[in-house]
Amino acid sequence: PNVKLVTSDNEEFVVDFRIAKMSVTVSRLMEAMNMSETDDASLLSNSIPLPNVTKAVMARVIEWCEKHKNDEPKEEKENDKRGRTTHVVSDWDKEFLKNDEFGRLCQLMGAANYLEIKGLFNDISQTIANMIHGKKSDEIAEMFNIHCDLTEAEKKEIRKKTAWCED
Amino acid sequence: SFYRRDVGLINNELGLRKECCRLFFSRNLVGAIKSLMSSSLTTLLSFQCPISILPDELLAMIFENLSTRERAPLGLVSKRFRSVDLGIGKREFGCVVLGFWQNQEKMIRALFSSLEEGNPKDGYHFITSPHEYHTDVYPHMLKLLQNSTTDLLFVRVEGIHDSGEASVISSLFKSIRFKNLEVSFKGSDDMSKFGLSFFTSIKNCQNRFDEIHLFWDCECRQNIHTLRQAFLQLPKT
Repeated sequence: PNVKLVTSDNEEFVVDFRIAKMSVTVSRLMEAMNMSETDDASLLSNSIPLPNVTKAVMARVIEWCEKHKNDEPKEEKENDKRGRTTHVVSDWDKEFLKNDEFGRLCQLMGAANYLEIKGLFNDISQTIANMIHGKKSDEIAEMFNIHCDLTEAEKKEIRKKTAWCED
Repeated sequence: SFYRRDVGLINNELGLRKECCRLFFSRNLVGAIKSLMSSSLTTLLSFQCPISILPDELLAMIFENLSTRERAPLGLVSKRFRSVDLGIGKREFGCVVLGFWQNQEKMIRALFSSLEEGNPKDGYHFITSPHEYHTDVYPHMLKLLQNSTTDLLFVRVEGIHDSGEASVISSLFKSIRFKNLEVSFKGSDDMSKFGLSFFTSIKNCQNRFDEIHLFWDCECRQNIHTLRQAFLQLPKT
């Protein structure tokens, strides 16, 4: 069975029921609209409005979901010795996100958050974190095109406070 | 929440453009140009700095994927990055040494001895005197230590008996998790109220201790039974 999803720019996407269910938000909306896998009439007569997702972003989300629709639900492992949860981005996901420019990555992250697709959200969040990894403050500011609004005195004070963890 | 902001931005953008057209057709050229410039500026900002469209909650989730050491440069990127990073807490320390003293000279000596005892690469050393507790030092420390973990928490308190300050200092330990605790109370005054407040904070933070070392070298004129009770209620090692 298929489900119709309508984006903010009125583009209709017809997706497999399993793919639609990967989004907690869509799942909840389907439940609220009494749409079930066994009731074809309810699926045909209704469409799910997604006013916060554009056509371009939705296409990327569906592409990711297509790849992961058969994945087993996985528990996040506590790899860190102090119990911090870490997420490993698979090679396919790295390749998938590699070509997105940073602006699109942010939009995709927002969509994953709105649609509540945990796997995609964690992949993007970890990808952006990996971009920060090992960089100095000025390199991070340059990469994200951020204008530093801290004064020299404030920077000096912060450096003093974080001296213990600087190499 | 991100898209609510994004849609807000777009709506604002559309609103500004509609306003621009309205002003243009009503021959208010200056108003139309101003409106158009404002509209373009909004678009320009979101294109030039895409991370600015992510709300603080999502930015915090990205930062949480980084270790304490990797997060250190974030505080120097911008005020927003600093505030988001501080708000997370969840730092990982090898050793946290906190000293509270009335005597400045002793305070400095304690700082040096604690630096020698602990590993400054992994630790956080915070030595303060009573007059600082009402400044921004404590709120900053509270944020820094919230939901953090450390192998060793080393607390030295000397000559502090003001109950207001005791509760402020004790609040620092409410959410830090640690395995080993070494606490030393020293002074000629009665510090039982301070001790009580401290042990109550430690008791509530649900730590699993490996070792506890308590050094008590001060008066304890009142609340001795309550204090003993509070100490005995700490989780077993």
